[in-house]
Amino acid sequence: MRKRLLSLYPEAWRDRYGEEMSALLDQTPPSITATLDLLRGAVAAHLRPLASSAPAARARGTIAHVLGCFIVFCVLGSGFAKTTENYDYTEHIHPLLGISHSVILIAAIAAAAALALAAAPLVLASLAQAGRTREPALMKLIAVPPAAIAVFAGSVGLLGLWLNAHHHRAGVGGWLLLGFCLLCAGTGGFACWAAPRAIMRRIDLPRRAFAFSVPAVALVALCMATVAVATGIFLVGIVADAPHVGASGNGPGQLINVTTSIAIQFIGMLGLSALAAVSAARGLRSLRAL
Amino acid sequence: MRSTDPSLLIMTSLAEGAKHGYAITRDVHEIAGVTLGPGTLYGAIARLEERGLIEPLEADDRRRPYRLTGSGAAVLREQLIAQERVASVGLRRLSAAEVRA
Repeated sequence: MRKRLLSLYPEAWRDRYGEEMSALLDQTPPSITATLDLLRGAVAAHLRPLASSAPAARARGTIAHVLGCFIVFCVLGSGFAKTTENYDYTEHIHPLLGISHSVILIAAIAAAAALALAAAPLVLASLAQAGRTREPALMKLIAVPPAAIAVFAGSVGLLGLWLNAHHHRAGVGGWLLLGFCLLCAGTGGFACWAAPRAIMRRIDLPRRAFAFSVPAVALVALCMATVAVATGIFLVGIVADAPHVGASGNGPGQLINVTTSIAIQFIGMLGLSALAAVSAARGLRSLRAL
Repeated sequence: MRSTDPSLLIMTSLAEGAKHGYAITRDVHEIAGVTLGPGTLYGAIARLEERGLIEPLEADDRRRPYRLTGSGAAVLREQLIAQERVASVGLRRLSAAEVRA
């Protein structure tokens, strides 16, 4: 189990220290502290990549980082969409809310389109290699993201059917289904990050694929930053122009209000955008050395 | 660097001679009572290696020993002297305060 956590470290890190760390783990008894330390080390290794790592590994790292940030960003964005789903009237009354909401939607669509562009050469290269080599492990990895998305969509569909059949009264079954949806979202999100990362290590990516994909993920990071800033403006609009809306309850059990929800989403989006931007800048620099 | 800084502890351990990850962990636990986790240990090793303060030797099976470089030894000496100075001033002031009390 602990050795599996080593796969969370960046590729260049595993190439350089993976064997040694694995040997160390063999010699030390397992403990929660050591496991948490491994996880913390993995985060730190991603934030501070090895200077000696190969340019191709750095470019692959950039794509994986921005993808990871984007997946978590989507979770926060879904929260924002759910929080603001019935705000048409409010946005009409307060132009700042309407404009910032429109910017968020446009930038989110642009981010998804840029991600699709970034993924295109990688998908084509992996499908070509899988077709050529018929490598079972590669074919399984390629099937993981669509399968994870299908399972998640299925679980959401089941929840919707349940709620419709029970006149929007969740009951125990509804809560269990919601838990299942969240589980599918968590595992599916992780799978959608881990599988492309593993695929990129297995396939031979030409320089032109990186030359296309890395700027495209830089565009994803830019769109994420735009969404984050627009969410901040939306938050200001709620606080300044519509405090009554901001004070209303939100989330499961109405535990927090709308302002707090959006503030949490904004802080998370800002942090993820910053991480993605730093990683994209590193990736763009690595292109020169490729 | 603090006296419990992983980098300082690792360099202090390597001042005795080359060691691999597990031997460093054990030694650091003995000399400072600090258990370095695997992530902390290799994070610090990577930083020290990048700064040229330690260097890897030929791997022994899957374990790779490290040793202090010349500049690593100089930096370690400087750090330890600075800490010793702070420690002696602190102890002297404590003693003086106890005499006054």
